[in-house]
Amino acid sequence: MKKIWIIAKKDFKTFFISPIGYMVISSFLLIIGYMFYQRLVFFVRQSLISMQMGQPMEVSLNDAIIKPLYGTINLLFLFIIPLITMRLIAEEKKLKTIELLLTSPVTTAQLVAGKFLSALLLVATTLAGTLLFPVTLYIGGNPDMGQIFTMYLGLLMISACYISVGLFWSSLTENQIIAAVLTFVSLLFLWIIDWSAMNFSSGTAAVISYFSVIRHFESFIMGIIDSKDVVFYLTFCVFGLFLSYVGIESKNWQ
Amino acid sequence: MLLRLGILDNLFFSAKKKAESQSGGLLKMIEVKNLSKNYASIRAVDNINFTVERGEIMGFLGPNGAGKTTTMRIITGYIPPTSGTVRVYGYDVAENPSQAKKCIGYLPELPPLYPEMKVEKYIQYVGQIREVSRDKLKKSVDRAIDICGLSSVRGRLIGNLSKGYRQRVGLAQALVHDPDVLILDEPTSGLDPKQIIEIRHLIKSLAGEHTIILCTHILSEVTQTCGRVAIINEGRIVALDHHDNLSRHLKGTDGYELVIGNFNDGVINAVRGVEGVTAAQKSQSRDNTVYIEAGKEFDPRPGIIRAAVNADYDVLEFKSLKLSLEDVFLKLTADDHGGAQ
Repeated sequence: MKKIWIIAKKDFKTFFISPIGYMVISSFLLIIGYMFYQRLVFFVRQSLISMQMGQPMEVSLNDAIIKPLYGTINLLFLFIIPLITMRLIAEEKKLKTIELLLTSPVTTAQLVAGKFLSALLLVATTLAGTLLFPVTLYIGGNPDMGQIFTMYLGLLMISACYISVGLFWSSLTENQIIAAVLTFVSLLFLWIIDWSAMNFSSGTAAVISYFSVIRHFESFIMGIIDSKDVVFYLTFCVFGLFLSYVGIESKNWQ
Repeated sequence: MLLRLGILDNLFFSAKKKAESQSGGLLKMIEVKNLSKNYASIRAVDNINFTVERGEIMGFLGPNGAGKTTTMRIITGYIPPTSGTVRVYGYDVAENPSQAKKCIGYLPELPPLYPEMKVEKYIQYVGQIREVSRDKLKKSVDRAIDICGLSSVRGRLIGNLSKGYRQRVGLAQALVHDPDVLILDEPTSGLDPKQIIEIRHLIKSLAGEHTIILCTHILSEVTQTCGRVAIINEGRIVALDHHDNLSRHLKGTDGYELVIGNFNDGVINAVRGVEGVTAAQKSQSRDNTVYIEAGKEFDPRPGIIRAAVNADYDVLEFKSLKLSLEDVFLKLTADDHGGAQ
C-alpha cells in the first residue's frame, strides 16, 4: 500500500514538472469556464425576461446550467484523459525505468495501482477547479446540491474507467502517441456503441447499450446513484486495470 | 600480448578467502542452476550454471548478443527463465521475488533514469521503492551520493547531466539500499578513459561488502576488476575460472622471452639444453630476443638464466608470456566449445 502511494505521488508530481499537467488543466478550465459563463449569462437574461413578463421561470438552475455543463465535462475528458494516461507506462518502457521498477521489490499490481491513482488524482485536481461553479451558483441562487454531488461522483467514476483504458494501451507500447490515439478511439467507441444498438433485436440491443459508458452516466446526471451503474463502472475499471496488469506482464511471454 | 599479473587482485583475493574461512565457510550469494531462456526460436541462454560467493567480483564476459543481459535480467527477476532456477541470498527469485529483489542492486545497461527528476530526489525515490526505512532514508541517500561522487550535482536535473554523471547516478541508484548483491551491466560503456578508471576504482572499492557481478565485453575491465571470470558465448558458459588460470590452462605450454645484450645464435643452443625447455628460437618480432617454450611439468626458469649467464651472455630482460585474456576469449569464442572448464 505504501509503495502504491510512493509511485502515485512521484507520478503525480511528474505531471507538474512537465508542462503537460498545467496544459491539460488550464485548457480544460478555460473551455469549461467559458461555457459556464455563457450558460450563466444566458440563464440570467432568460430569467430577467420572464420576470419582466411576470411569468415564473420554467427551467431550474440545475437543468439550464449544471446538467449540460457536466455533460460537456464528460466530453472534454474523452479528449484529455488519453493525454494524461499516454505516458504512464509507455514512458517507463521508453526510458527503461520499467526495469528499475520491476527489479525492485514492487509488484506489477502495485505499479498498476500507483499509476492509476496518480492519474485519478490529476483528474480529481482538474475537477476541483470546477467546484467554483456550484459555489458561484450557491452564492447567487439555489441549486440542487445533491444532484451536483452525484454528478461529481459519476464524473470521478467515469474518468476512472477512462484512465483504466488509457493505462491498458499505455502498457502495451513505448510510443505515447500510439497509446493516446488508441485510448481515444476505444473510449469513443464505448461512447457511441449504443448508436448501433437500434440495428439489433431488442435482446442484443440491451446488451450492447449496457456497454455504453455514457448510458450509465445518465442517472448520475439526474441525481440518482444507481447501484447498477456503480457496479458497471467498478467492474469496468477493475477489468481495465487487470488488462493493464496483463499488458505489463506480457513482456514475460516472449 | 602480455597479461600483467593482477598482484593486487590476488592479494585482495587471498585476504578475503581468509576472512571467509574464519567466518565459517563460503556463502553462496548467487546460485544459478541449469538456466535457459528461449526467445521464440532463439535460445538466448543455454543451460548456464554458476555460483558467486560473498564478497567476490565475478566477471561476465562475452561478445555483444551472447546472452549476458538476458542472464542478468533473469537473476534480477525482470524476466522469468524458460527453465532453471536462480537463488539470491538463498531466496528463489521465482518463488520469493520480493525477498530476492530486496538483496539486489541492479544497474542495467542503460541506466534507468528519469530525466525530469533531480539527482537527490531520484535516488530518494529509488530508496523508497526499495524499502529503505523512513528514518534511514536520508542517510542512505547521502551515502550513495557520497560514494558515487555526486555531491556537486545533487540538486541538478538528471536530464542535464553528462553521460559520466548519469552512469554514476545509475550506480548510486543501485547502491542506495545497501544491497548484498550488485549486478552491473556494462557500467563503463560510453565513458571517457578517466571516468572508466574512476568507475572501476569505485567498483573495486565496493567489493568487500558487496558481491558483484560485472557484465562486460571489454576484456581489460575484467582483468583489472574481477577475480573469477565466466566467458559466455551464444548463451553458453564456455569457460569459468580465475582469469590467471584461464590463460594458463588454455595453453599447454608456457612461453618465455629472453633478451640478450651480446646476442648471437649460440645462446639459442645454450638455452635448448636446459631441462624442461621444449623449443627455443629467435624471436620474430623483437631483436636480440630468444623465444622459449617449455612444458608445464617442470619450471625451466632458473635453468634458462643460469645457462645464459654461464655462457657469458648478458641477460637484459626475462619474462614469461602468458596468453592474454584477449587470446583466451578469441580462442574460446572461435571454437564452439572451449575446454578450459
